[in-house]
Amino acid sequence: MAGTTYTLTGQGGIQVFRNLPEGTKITLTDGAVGTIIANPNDGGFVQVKFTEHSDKSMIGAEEFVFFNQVVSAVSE
Amino acid sequence: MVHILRARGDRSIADFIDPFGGTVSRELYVNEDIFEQEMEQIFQRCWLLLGHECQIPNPGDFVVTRMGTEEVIMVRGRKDGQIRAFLNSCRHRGMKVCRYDEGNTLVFSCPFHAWTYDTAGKLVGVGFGNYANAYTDTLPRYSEEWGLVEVGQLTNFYGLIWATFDKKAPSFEDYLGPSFAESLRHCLQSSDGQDGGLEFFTPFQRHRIPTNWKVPGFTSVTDLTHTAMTHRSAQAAGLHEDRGRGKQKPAPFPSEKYAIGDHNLGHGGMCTFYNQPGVPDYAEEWFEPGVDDYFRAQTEKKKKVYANRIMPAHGWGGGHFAIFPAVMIDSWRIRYYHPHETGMTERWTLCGVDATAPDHVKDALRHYAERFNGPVGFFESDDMENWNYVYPASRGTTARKYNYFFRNGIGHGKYDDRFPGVVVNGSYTEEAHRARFSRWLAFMEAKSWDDLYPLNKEANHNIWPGVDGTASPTA
Repeated sequence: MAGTTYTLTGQGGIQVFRNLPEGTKITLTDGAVGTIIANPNDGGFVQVKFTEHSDKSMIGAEEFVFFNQVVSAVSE
Repeated sequence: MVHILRARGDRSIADFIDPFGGTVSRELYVNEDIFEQEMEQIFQRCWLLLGHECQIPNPGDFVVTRMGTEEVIMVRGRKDGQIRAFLNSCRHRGMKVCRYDEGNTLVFSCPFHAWTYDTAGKLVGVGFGNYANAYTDTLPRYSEEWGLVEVGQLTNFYGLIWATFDKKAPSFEDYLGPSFAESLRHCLQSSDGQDGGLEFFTPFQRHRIPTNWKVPGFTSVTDLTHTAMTHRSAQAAGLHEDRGRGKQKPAPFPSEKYAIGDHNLGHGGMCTFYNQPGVPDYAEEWFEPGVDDYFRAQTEKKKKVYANRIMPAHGWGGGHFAIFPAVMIDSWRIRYYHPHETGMTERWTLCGVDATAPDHVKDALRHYAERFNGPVGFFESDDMENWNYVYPASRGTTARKYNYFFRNGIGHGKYDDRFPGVVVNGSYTEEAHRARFSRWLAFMEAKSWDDLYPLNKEANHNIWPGVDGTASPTA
């Protein structure tokens, strides 16, 4: 089944980002890709485990990512 | 000697207490410069009560508590389960990073610039851009330097969480002293005499009192003379002490009651010296059916624990005591005072019960706490009438020139081997109050812990005369 692409822009995007579920695949502005492993629901951050990254040492690393770094979010 | 810099600038701190007259200046309670100095000299150094571990049982659980005038987040780490405490203030611009009283969280995100900290206090994210390159590379990644400010030391004493800002402070056990440590341990035992095993009703009672913190903190322990008038109506209604119906008095147990004060440590209060091992028979006292049955059975278990031991001098009918500077404790009931301003104090009351008690017992204890404590309880609302009006009636230009009377019992105190280091006096005296002022002055004047007992074992901070028959004060 194809994943859902979340709309992160506009007024509604604020709430969508705040409620992104664990397991959501996100892509960042620098091209890095990761999976949300936790969401504090503060509307600012999600915690991500990287699966693709230009710095290979970052693959598998866990990082808190700010909302304006995220360009897309897709449920898997 | 430490001097007050502004108001009444010609007086040293020591001049505000008149030991031989047995009096204390009202400036201690109303002067804003003294208050600021207390925050620096006392509340930055002393061990302070943060709460109980039962408030944060799960990883990520937190409560916002206080240390003096400052908000502190007590949090259980998500990864390691360790309890830590941090100032509730973002390192970037000082905004509160947590604006809830309690909860469970993954991180503390500052709503100002989104500096974000994990539950171990580490900076794990900042707003606006990739953290790795944020702030023009001036902010090292996961900087230890820019994490939340952690307290200097923290300890878990049979479930109660204590902390000090001062990394050089002595251990909490040394701060208490061995006898008071045993008393506190006894207060925190379950009713069958086992260590720990308590839970506390949450949320705690919290309310603000428009008075100086020392009014309830220094004078509401071992103040037996206030009860006859202050609590007269509640006593007339038959509500004093007994939690319900009239007591069935048990056989007397050999013991002696005193007021005590440790002038080197500042702790003190009522106490009971038991003159033989064992535990007094249970005295029935509850309205609610089945509660006496439970506690009678628990008392029989406790008798076995103390069959060959003399019970500690506090708790379980022995009496309540104060831990310097602002904690008052008796069995299962802990009250502490957070100063906000010179004339504003926040009071927290913790009421506990055996964690394994049946529901009808827990309900009875909770109802008792509600009808006794707090602004809507029968007894503490009486006390607050006094505390609330003491401050405004003492801070006037004329009023503050007249010292408070703390002379009761001077010349009658003695040292007693049953509780080494404390001055023992009659139960209606102000010995415990005077001990707190001895310790207060020591803290206010001390430049470091080197000047303070227990690190300086040779120190004798008793400023009051007349112990063991030494020179008596002005009558």
